[in-house]
Amino acid sequence: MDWLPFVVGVVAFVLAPFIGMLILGLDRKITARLQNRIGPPVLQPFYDVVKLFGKTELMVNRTQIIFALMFFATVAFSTLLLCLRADLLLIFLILSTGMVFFALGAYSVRSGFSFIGGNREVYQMLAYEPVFLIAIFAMGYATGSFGVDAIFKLDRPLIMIVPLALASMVIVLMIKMQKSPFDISTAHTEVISGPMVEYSGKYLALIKIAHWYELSLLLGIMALFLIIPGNLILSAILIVIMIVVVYFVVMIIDNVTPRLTWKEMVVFSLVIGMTLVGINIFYLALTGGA
Amino acid sequence: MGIVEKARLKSPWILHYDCSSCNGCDIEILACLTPYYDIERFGILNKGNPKHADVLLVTGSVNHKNKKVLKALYDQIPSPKVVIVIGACGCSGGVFHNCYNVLGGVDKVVPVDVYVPGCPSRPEAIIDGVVLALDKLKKLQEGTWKEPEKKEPDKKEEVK
Repeated sequence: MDWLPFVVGVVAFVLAPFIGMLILGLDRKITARLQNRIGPPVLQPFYDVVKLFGKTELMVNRTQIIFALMFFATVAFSTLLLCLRADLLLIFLILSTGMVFFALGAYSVRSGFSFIGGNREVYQMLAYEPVFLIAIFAMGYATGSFGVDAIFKLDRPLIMIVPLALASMVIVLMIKMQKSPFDISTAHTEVISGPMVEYSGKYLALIKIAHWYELSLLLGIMALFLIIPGNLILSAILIVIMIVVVYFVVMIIDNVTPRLTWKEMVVFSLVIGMTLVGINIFYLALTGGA
Repeated sequence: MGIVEKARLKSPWILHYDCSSCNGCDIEILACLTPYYDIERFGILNKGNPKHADVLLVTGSVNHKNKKVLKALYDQIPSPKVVIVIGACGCSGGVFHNCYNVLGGVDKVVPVDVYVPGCPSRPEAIIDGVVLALDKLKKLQEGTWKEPEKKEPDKKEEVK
């Protein structure tokens, strides 16, 4: 058995949360600069999480903690699966299970803010999950397999076959990372921090780390579109450029748009996202597939 | 000093509670969050949620109605926590100190670490107070903290 991909995968899995953390730190710094502020240090998310681990334990009930642990475990596990080049559909389903645990954790406490936050989390799932799923279907249709390995065996990068699936993944990224205009569930001025409102200390820290994993997982799936088979160095450069450009655009939109209501979000995401991927799959089918 | 202790000083999240303040001090606290003063550069975030907070900022004097709320908020913040009182009313009761419904300063209900005087306190003074509180936390963690000597206030005849 060839052990090199396995080692690379494990190293990527260990680095994944730190990549997510650095991107979120840069996000806060650049957002501050856009607002003409100095902003916190880039490692600020790291300090926040370390501090939260040092706080005393304060829990509402034990169910809540089980759900927080399961959320962390499922998101981390789906990231591990991507790093080990497993099946994309499996990664998607396990990630969705994690989001269900997150929403259930919000429902498990008797708190109005937490309950509304949980509801909104489910609306967000309603908005992005179909788009995410159909984007993965498009990737599977283009490669003939849901396996990540198949992308490395194509004759050209995936972005040349299904470019609109990548575009719809940007919408998924915005909804998942709670970026305005889609920051519905953690809207600070409406529901404080939504599903996370009753968590404190190390369980809140675990949820934050799970979000770092989520961010690197999504960017990892988007990176799959740019893999040029046989020229991994060039594709790495392209991936870094893609992540910088996409995240910068997302950040600008975050800073200049107000929050939508959940209905507007669901309609926008489903109509625009599904149409984009639909057009792409239709075109592929017309021109005789990949 | 361990990594957790260092991180504590770099990420104080704030809960702001208005105990019957006239809103003067509250507006000054909110002014700290604007780009002009930008307290986020110290890692400070305004969290509106006691379970996420590390620092309790209280303005206004305590009365019989809100002392339970203040105590409940204080108890819901997980330790280690810091309490900072902003403004003359919170420090001592201020001009309301001898009202029939006023208990006095915030320290009648919860232990206070830093008093920021002023009516209202200026944003610079508030930032100074938070930095002072962090300095106290640092010294407490290192074990070099000394309680300042308490001075007896000058006894004057009460104005009747």
